[in-house]
Amino acid sequence: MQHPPRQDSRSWRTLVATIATLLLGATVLAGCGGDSSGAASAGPTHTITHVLGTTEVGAKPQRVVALEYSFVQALDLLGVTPVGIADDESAERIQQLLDKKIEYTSVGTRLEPNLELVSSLKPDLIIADSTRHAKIYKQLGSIAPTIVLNSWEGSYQEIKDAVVTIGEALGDRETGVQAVKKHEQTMADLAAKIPADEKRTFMLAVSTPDSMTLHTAASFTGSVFQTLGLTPAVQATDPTESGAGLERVAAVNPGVLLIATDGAGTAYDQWKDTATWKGVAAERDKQVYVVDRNQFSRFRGLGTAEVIAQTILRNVYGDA
Amino acid sequence: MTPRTPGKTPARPRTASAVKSALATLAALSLHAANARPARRRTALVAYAVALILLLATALAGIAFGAVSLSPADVVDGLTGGANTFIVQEYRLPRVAVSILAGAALGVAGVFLQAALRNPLASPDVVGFTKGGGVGAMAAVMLSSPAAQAWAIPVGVIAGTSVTAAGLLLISRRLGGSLTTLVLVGAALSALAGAAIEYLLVREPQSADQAMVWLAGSVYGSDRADVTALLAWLAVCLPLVVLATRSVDVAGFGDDSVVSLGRHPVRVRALLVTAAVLLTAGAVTSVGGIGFLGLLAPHLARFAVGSRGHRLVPMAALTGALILCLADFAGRVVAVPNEIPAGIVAVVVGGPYLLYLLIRETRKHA
Amino acid sequence: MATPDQHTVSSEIRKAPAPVLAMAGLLAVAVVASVCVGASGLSFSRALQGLLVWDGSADHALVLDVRLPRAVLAVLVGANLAVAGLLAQTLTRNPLASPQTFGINAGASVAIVLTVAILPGLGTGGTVLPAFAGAAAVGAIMWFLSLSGAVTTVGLALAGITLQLVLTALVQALLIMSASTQDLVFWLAGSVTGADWSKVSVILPFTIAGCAAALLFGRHLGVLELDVTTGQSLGQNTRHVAALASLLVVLLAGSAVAVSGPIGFVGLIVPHIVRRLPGGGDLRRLAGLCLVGGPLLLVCADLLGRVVAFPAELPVGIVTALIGTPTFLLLAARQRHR
Repeated sequence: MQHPPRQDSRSWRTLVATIATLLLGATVLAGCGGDSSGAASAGPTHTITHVLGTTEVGAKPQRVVALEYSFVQALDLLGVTPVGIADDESAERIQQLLDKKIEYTSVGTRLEPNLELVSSLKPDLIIADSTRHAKIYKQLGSIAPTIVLNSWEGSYQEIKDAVVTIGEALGDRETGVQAVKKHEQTMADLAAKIPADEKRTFMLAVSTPDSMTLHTAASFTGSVFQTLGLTPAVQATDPTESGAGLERVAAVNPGVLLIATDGAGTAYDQWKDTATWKGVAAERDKQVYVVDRNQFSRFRGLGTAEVIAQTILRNVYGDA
Repeated sequence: MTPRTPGKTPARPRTASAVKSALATLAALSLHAANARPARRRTALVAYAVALILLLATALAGIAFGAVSLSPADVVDGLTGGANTFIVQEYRLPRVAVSILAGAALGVAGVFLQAALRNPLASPDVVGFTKGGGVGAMAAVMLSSPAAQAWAIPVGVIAGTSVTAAGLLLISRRLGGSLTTLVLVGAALSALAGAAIEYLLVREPQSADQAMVWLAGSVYGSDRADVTALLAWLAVCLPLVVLATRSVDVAGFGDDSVVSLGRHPVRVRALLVTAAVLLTAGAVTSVGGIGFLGLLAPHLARFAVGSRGHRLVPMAALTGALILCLADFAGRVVAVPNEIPAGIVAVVVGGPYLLYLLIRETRKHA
Repeated sequence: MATPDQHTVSSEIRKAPAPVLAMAGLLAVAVVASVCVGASGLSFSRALQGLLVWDGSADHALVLDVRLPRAVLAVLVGANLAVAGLLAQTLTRNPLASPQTFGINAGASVAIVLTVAILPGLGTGGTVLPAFAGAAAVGAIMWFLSLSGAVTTVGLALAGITLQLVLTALVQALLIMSASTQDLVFWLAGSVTGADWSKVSVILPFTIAGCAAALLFGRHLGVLELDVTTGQSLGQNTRHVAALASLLVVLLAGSAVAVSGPIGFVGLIVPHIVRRLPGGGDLRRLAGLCLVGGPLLLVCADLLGRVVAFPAELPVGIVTALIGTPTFLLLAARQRHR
């Protein structure tokens, strides 16, 4: 290496050849096989409008894959058992979600569902989430007709609309509408049991190791509270406010506080013995309730809304 | 350099030496590569062959195996538009292709940066390119609507990487432009980009999970459009890559020698850095921030073929492609039905090796 | 050197140079300001009243439960990181050394996240030992690298940064596999939001022991600044001193990460800044200055993070990075002009 590098023409050929091989190989890999444009069924179809556009769905889809928990609950309301669920490999959550055991195939995590397994289930409808699955929408579309709805960041209204949309996709819009109506009736009945002069503010906080995440009026639980005629403690356009310390919670000073945790060792355990915590209205009036994080924050379905309402009635108003 | 083609050499000794060098290459690719002898041309050719065969084998395995087990007949059937068309053509093939292309791009980018900064520990990650791209991508994901993300993410990545690179070159030039400054400024920018990422995570914890996967690096969700886009990007970069490859050796000499060779040291460096930025941006757009691939691949390649640019660059491309392809394949099959992002597999397997490299590298310079 | 014990801490404090006193004054102001600013609309005078009048009122409770531990925690973490940075820089004779650039913070983070993933619900107290283990492992690697002799300044720093990148990737991997990113974003960025007295009690012993050791043995540690042969000819056992210094770095940085997450730049820039102050010089004085300068920087950064994003908060680690990067570049530039 004492002399300046002299370009060796042969090595250059190798270089160019290698690069060409790589590029060519990739081209072959990319291009081989013809276009397979989706798996649209041959029979009559109907058009469904969703977050990422419109999709032609077969008349009566039977084999449905749900990639988010709330869709499973919606499907259950509509009388369909999904063949595949992205369940984060925890079947017990699905059981908790539906309050019963169902037969289905796990297709992996909600974050990166296993599309090979999805395709091997030969679904005729896939329901995906707009936050997590936008990137794979096209790929999902080439497995089966796919509708994309907002579950992960969805408000209560969006979750209700989703039930109607899913009903429509299943070829039975009316059942969806009826399910929502029935749900609204249930909620109205529950709301009627709440005293009209309720002045306290309500809040759900998810307790994490160092701080709490406050769910605002724009969140799913926030809108459930409003449906019940209750006032959410935090009014904001963002559904959640994360990183809230004890001081922030004390400043919000909710009258009724639901704390969602996955278990012990969170901020709540560190705070609950302090004088400041004891000064929060909810703690002072013994209106702090520890609730299940799956039910209250992860699931986000119509059934969830009813569970939340019942929990409040049972705990706050002593109604069985 | 006698123009003797390999075919005309006497068969026996060639086979023997080929076997020997193949073994040497395998050893070089394994963990015990510390003292590989300086590679000669033939060793280099054998190294290419071995790496290419390994890459092909991994690619084939990646197409044949996965969460759903397919027989060879099923695979062929899938390739020709049969029952398993989706799995073979839309899922496995694009992933294999993207991992090869992105891995190759990161490996080559690493070689260029190490040459430009004359430091064997430089990589697109250390000087903040991947993190800068990560900031751009995360901002794009969080600020744009789901439908717009297809174009917003590439724009964000390219903007983030370019801003970081421009900042790196401009600031270090203001500070005197020495290589030490360049490395230090790069490290500082990397830390700053890291803080920006943390800020976005704190602002939008809702998307934190996805952001994490993206930052760790994942080939998941690659489709044919991704392959085409990356292929086109790399094809456009190719002339620049060839030019930069010609400068790798020159950049290795001191600035005075570069001048005496009739080249402008700053221009040589700028050329190498630019090529590295473009390659990194392309790769990061497709697979996220698999940062240390750009460090790992050049080192493995150097063991196998030595440090001459025209041999090192193709080998680094092959090595990078091989590592990413293997990592993605492993991530798909070890925890079925769950997918483990390739970046995680790569760091768990490659991390200890990198540590070993680090110790070796710093001792060598002692 | 014959009678080092004559120089006690108290005599050092008596001789304390003006900058220490000035900075201590500033720190006191910053701590009071930190106590008086917060998410709830407590007025300045009422917060001050809460701090001074122990009347059991809600204001007093808030100051006592939330704001005071937070300010105290920021002080302790700042002291730990700055002194650890000073020791690391002296130990490796490398101006780029710090718990962050050498990957020690990241080592502690990996260990903590791993522990939380395997055994959730341990709380802060349970993460201290893993944090030490992680910090010690990385510290050992870096020490080993720096012992190997004439490693260049930048080479060692690069090795540390690379190590840090790999460890950060490991943290990401653990977070993805345990699906807990959302819950840990604040801790990851480095934050004193979750401060309470239990965290203060976790870090306090290490701060006192570590900083006292740094001050007491400062003269001995100073020998590390000399090269090996000179140190040996002076009769100091360089290896023992280096081992002590490494241990201190691990204890100080590890306990800081355990309570507040990996906060960067404090350990890197504070030693550089105090070196430029008049009255700097021998290691003990520098340690004394760091002991005040680190807390000053961290308390101010935390205050800034709360004011800028009000009523939400910016984790202090982000603020220190925003302040630290330009400062670091400026320092690098000044270094060049010398």
